[in-house]
Parts: sequence; C-alpha cells; structure tokens
Amino acid sequence: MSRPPRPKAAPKPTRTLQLMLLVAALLIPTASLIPFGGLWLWQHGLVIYWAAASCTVVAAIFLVARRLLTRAAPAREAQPGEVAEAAGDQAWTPRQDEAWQDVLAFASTVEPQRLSSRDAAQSLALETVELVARRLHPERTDPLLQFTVPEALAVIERASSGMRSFVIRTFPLGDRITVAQLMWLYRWRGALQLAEKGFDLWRVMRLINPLSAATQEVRERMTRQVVDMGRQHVTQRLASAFVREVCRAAIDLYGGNLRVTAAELSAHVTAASRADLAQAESRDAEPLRILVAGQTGAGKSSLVNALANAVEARVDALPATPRFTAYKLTHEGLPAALLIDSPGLAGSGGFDALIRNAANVDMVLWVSSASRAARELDRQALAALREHFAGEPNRRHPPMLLALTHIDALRPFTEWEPPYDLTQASRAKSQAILGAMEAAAEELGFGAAEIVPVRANGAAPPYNIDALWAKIIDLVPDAQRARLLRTLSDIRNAPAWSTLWSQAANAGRVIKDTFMRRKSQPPEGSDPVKPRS
Amino acid sequence: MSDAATTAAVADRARTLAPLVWLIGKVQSGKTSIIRTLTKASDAEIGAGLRACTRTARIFDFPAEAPIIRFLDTRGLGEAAYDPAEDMAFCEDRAHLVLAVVKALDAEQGAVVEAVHAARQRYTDWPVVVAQTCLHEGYAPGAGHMLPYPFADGLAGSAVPGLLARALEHQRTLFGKIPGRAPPTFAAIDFTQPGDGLEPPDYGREALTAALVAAAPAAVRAALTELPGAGAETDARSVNAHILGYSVAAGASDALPIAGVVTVPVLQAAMLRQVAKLHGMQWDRRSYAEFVAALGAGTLLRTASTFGIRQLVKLVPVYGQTVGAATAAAASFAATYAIGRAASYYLTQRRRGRAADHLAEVYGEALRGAFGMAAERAWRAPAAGGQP
Repeated sequence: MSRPPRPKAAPKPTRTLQLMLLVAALLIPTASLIPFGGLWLWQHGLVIYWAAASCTVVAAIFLVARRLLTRAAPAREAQPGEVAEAAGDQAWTPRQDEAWQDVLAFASTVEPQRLSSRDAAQSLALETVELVARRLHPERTDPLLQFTVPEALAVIERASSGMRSFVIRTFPLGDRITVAQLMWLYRWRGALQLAEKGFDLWRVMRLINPLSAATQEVRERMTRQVVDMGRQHVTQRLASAFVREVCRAAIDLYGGNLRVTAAELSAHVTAASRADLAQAESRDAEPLRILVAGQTGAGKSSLVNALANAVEARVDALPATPRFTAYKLTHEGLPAALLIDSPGLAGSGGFDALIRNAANVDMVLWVSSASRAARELDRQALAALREHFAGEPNRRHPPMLLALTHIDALRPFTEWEPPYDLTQASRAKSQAILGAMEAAAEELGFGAAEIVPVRANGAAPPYNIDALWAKIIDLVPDAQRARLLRTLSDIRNAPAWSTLWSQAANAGRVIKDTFMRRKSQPPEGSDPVKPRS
Repeated sequence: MSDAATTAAVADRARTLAPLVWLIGKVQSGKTSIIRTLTKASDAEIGAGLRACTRTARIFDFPAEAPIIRFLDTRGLGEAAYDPAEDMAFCEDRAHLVLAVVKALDAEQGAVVEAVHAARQRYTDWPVVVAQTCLHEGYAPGAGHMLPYPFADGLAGSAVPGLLARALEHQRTLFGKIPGRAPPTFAAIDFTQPGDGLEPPDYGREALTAALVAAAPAAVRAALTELPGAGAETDARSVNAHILGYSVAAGASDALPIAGVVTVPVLQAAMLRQVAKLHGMQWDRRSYAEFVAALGAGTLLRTASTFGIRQLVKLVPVYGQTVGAATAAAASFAATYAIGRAASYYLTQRRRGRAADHLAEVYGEALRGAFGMAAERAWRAPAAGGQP
C-alpha cells in the first residue's frame, strides 16, 4: 500500500502535456464558438429573443417530460419504489451485502433532523460512508481512505443519480431537487474545480455534464425549499433514502466495484484466459471459466470431450492430462465459456495447484467415478476448495456440480441399454445408479440436485450429457455473478491499473486536501489516496 | 471344560499359528471378493467374520473354528495419513504374504504402491502378489470374459483390448519398482457375483491361486492348497481346511510345552465334532464305535470302544501317536490330520448309506500325506504372543 513511486512519473509529464495540448487543440476552436456566438447575439440585440426561445423550448420539454413521467409512475406509488431501493445489488459480494444490511438498519433509525442543514447532511453522509468503509475494510485503521481518485469522482455521479431517482419518484417537485448531488458536489467542490483545470480530463468529462454551472443556482434554491417543507415524515424518508443512496455508492466505492465501468468489464480479459483464448484462437471478452476436476482416471478428459463435442482432450487408461488445459465450449444458452481440464488428483500434492486454478473459475464441475468407492481424496480436495472459497468473502462461491461418471460399470456389468429412468428405478441398473448417486452425494457434500450421472467413456455414445448441460446452464447466472467479481478483482490487480492510477495521482492529492479539510478529525499520518491491492 | 470354552481355546491356538495374507487395496478394489472366492464363504459370513485388529485393518479368520489362514484387510488406505507401520507390525513374526489388490483400470495406485514399498523395504523377503481386478471395466460394451484365459503368459494375449492391456502393463510397471528380494507376481482376475452375468464368476481364480502358491512360503502354501476355493470339490475342501486347522494346532500343542487347556485329545475331539457338523451329522455311540472299529481294529481300540465317547476320543490319538515314528509334534499333526480325513470319509459314506470299506486306506494315505506336509513345513515353534 503506497503511493505509486515518484521516479516512475518522470517521463509522464511530457506525455501528459502532449495529451493536454492535443485536447486543448481540439477543444479551444469549438469552445471559442460560445463567447463568439454570445457576442454576436448581443451585438445584434438578439439576446432577449434567444433567451425567450430557450426558455420556451425548456418549458415545453419539461411539460412533456412531466406528463410522460406522471403517467409512467403515479405520484403516490412510492412504496414499491422504496422496496426496490432497499434491495441490494446482485453483483455484490457477501461482505458487501452485510454492509448493505448494516446501513439499512442504520437508515431506518436515522433522525430527520440530520438532514435539516447542509452540514448535518454532510456529517450524516460521512457517518454512513464510514460505516460501510469499516465493514468492507475491517483490517484497516483508515478505512475511509481505501479508494482511488477516479472512484471518488465516480461515486459523486452514482450517489447523485440514485438519490435523484428516489426524489423524483417520491416527492412533489422532486424532479427538480437533487439534494444528494448538491451535498456531494458541495463536498467535492474543490476537487471538481481543480479537476476542471484538467488534471484528469478523461474522468472529469463525465462529471461536467450533470453538473453544469447553470443548474447549480436552481439546486441551491430547491434544497432550501425541501428543508423549508419541514414536514417530519418527508424529511425522515428523505434522510433514510439519503443514507441508502450514500451507502450504495459507498459500497461500490469501498468494494472497488466502481473502479471499473461496465464497458471496461466486458472488454477485460484476465491474463490466464488471454493465454487460453489465444490457444483456442478466440478474441472474445472474458468467458465463463468452468473447471473440471477430480481424481486420476475419474473420466475428466472423456467428459470434456463429450461436452466440447469433439475429440480434443487426450483420453487414456493412464493419467493423460499433465497440466491444466483449456477447451473452448459452445452451447446454446451458454455464454462464451472455457472448459478447463485438470490433471487428476493423486494424493494431496495436487491440492495447491487445484486451489490456485479454482480461484480463477466461475463454476466447478467435479468428476467422480461411480465405480470407484475410494472418495477420500475427493472429499479432502473438496473440503480444501470449500474452505478456500469460504475464506474469500469478497468473492462469490462458484457454483459446483458433481458429474458421476462410469455409470456403465455399475451392476449389472454387462448391461448397457439407456435410457435409464431414475424417477422410478425399476431396473437393476437404474437402482445401482441411484445408489451410487446417493453414496457420492453424501460423501462429497453435494445436494441431490447438484449431481448428474453420465457416461462419457468407452465405445458407446455419451449418455446423459444433455442433463449435465441443463444443469450447467441453470447455474450460468450464478456463475456469471462469480465471473463479474473475479474479473473485478483481476482488473484491480492488473498492472495496467497502476498507469491509470499514476495519471490520476496528482488530481488525487488535491482531492485529498479538500477531503481532509472537510473531515473534522483527519486520521494522523494517513496516506491520502491509496490504491487497494 | 465346556464345549464353548474348548472351541474358543482351539480357535485361539489355531489363530496364533495360521499364516496371514495381508490384503492391501483401496476401498471396493475387490478384496472381499477375493476372500469370498478363495474361502467360498458368503459375503454375510465375511462381513460377520471381519474383526478389527488394528486401527486401520480388520482380520478374517478361515475357518473361524480353527483358522488355517487369516486375511488382513487394510481399510485406511487412501486416507490422508495412512501409516502402514502398525499393520506391518501386526504381520511381523507370522508366515505371511502381501496381496495387493488393484482395479485394473484405476491407474491411481500411489497409496497401494507406497504401502507395499514400505513393507518390502522393511521385510525384503515378504512375497508380494498383485491381483488386478475388475477386468470387465476395460471390455467393450456388453462383452463377456475372454476365454480361454489370455493373461496366463504375461499380457501377450491378442484378445486383450488395447486399453486394458496398457492399463495392466502400467500397473505392472508401478509395482515393478518396489524393493526386495523376489519381484512381485501378478494375476489378472475378475471375481463377480453369480448374478452379474459374467461367466465364470471366478474368472482368473486358477491364475491367482497359482501365483499365490508359487510365491508363498511353505506354511502358507499348505493352507492355500486346502482352501475350498483353490480347486474343485468345494465341500470336501472346506472340511479339509478345518481338519488342517485342528491338525496344525495339535502339532503345535506338542511342539510347545504349553501348560494350556488345549491338549491334543481336546483338539481332536473338537475336530471330530466340527467335521460331523460340516457333514450335517452328529456322532452317537454307535457310529463312533463303528468308526473306531473300522479305523484300526487294534486291541486297544476295541477295548476302548466300551468307554464313553469322551474317553474314547482321548484314546484315539494314543493310537495315532504309537503308530507315528517321527517327532511328537509331527506325529500329533499327522495323526490328527489323518483321523480327521478318515472321519470325514466315514461320515460321507454313512450319509450316502454306504459302508466305509476303505477307511483304513484313507487313514493311511492321509497320514503319509500329513507327514509329507509336516516335513515341508519344517515344523517350527510358533511365535509366542501376537494374539490379536
């Protein structure tokens, strides 16, 4: 945890300067049109007409928008809206969910007076943010500062828009009141002013639009109106909504989710996948990664072949997969996915490699042979894997499936006449399959719905792979959530981030100063803006 | 002493003498089906007979009344920290044989190889036989066993599917590296249940028995050849196994000056009761007198025939011992064995309603055979202690 090394910044000024000059060259000609246009209007005495025309247009648009809006959401249907407000975000990690629950409790108890003045609201926001920060970074002494500069800027946007939609839906005149925006703006004013000077043009461009100088006056006035309304229940609801919105933004801020926009997410590919994808000759965005693991000879490679619908993985009676190998998987209903075949487990020596690789996957397909009762190794490996996931509250537990292979080797041995109906197992083979499923599920800690018996070996065509596909596709939403968080953490750790970060460092230092000034008791000697690792 | 106490004492005595086959294999690798096939005991009998003897192993005595052989079933294999030391210590000082059991298509045999490796490092002369089981998992779908048995001479048989042949070869390479004097021998087997649709259910039994007999020390060899599953005539073999168990115990009783309750006459009485039970019959005064009469017709015996059954039984070995010219131990062993065989013959004939005309011949032949066995066994004093 340290500021990016200064020596590295040495070549940067030239580049930054070049960039700024380039942007200036592009902007100045266009921007110059505003004063010149104004001058022209003034010289020709047309300013009044222009103003009148502008007002008319704005009023017309406003009326139309108002009507459409009222029709879409009747004025007093705020309850469902609030329910939605209270819902968290599916992409959040368990720890972030916990923070959200904390804040919901806090929001319901907050006193309306807390929003009666600008300073009070600000301290309320600070309190909320601190609550979230401490939950998400319990190990830090200065949790409040665990975010990066662009995140700080993005959070303004987030809190503002969330609050605005709440106000618009809930209050009369709400569509013109954006308290949160104001509060946050007020707080970050210094940063914005400096940012406007061009320290981080790329980030700031997004902020300028909703915060144009013209609307600032209006907001100031509207805020006063809200406060003047003075009605207890209104301010109470507003206060808790405020806390929620601040929290929502804060969770994203401290959880690091804000560092990456949706566009960045979909474009990002982890290093591991990049290599694998290159191997699979693909340029897709980050695919779902499905790990196929189990004991040596459990039939992993055969299953991979059956799923990939091609003979790609080498299959042998002897251990045939020496390293983790990725295969591209395409199936209807499945997003781009990689199937990662793993070397078979043969003693606890392979656990470390398995867990290392499992950290990079969104779904785990555990393969166990129905005809081999020695599952102690599976049990241990799965326990280690589950323990690993449980120790990562910032990641979603990838969903797991158990594929029970070699069902053809169950009694009666010589019979193989699929399909086998497992719902009413009248045949001896069906009963044997059910028995093996129960035994394996119990031994390895899988639910009855998480286990699929298959046959993918030998000369006979694969059997029950369709059922396995159905289960896999059922789990895709879960897996995608896991993928989102994995990709986030990967981007967070990506070296590319440090360069972006160093660009923002200067701006960050200024924001820190502003922030510290606002904060009543700045933590001693805390480094202002630290990237999380 | 009571019958129950006698039975327990006889079993205890026999147990200390019975050689041990140490089965090392993963769960469900086919260890029980090997016991079942060799002893012809049912799964239920095996399940009931298996007793825990170490923390990681169970033992099955066969026959339970007077074991001639004991199977040590290692259970902890494949678990995190299986340490073969305890099981190894249990096998120490007994005649023994290591029988590794591996599923043919399960290439992951690290734990088994490790355990065998450890055993052979410590006891370089322990014979090792590797049984490769569940061959049918490597067959083409629906295919039955290959007949004639193609694994007899290595793996050259062209009938063996390539995948299976390579898997077997791989396992043979794995076990080929273990230390010790004689290299391990291999037997490809597939012991299934009669209803499984694979004929014969004891596929490869001859190969396994041959491998075991070839590898085993003399004491184990005698026991192995008497196992009901070792050849045809299952019923007769089962009786013989019991007889051998009592005879070994009787031999040891004389070899060791143990002031125990289990004397040669007690053993022989117990044996005769057991033999009758196996034939589904009971001794009564008449049949016993007839048996003794037919056996030797010696004066002593004829006089003795007027005694009660218990006393009579005690006299029979005197007859055997006086005939025997070898050491007391070998004589007791041989006499007990011969009496057992003679009794078995007599009871068989009687059950069929025929006269036991050749009883004397049977007795004489069994006696000669028993002396041969005793010589081969190079009668040695059993280790004291080691009782599970």
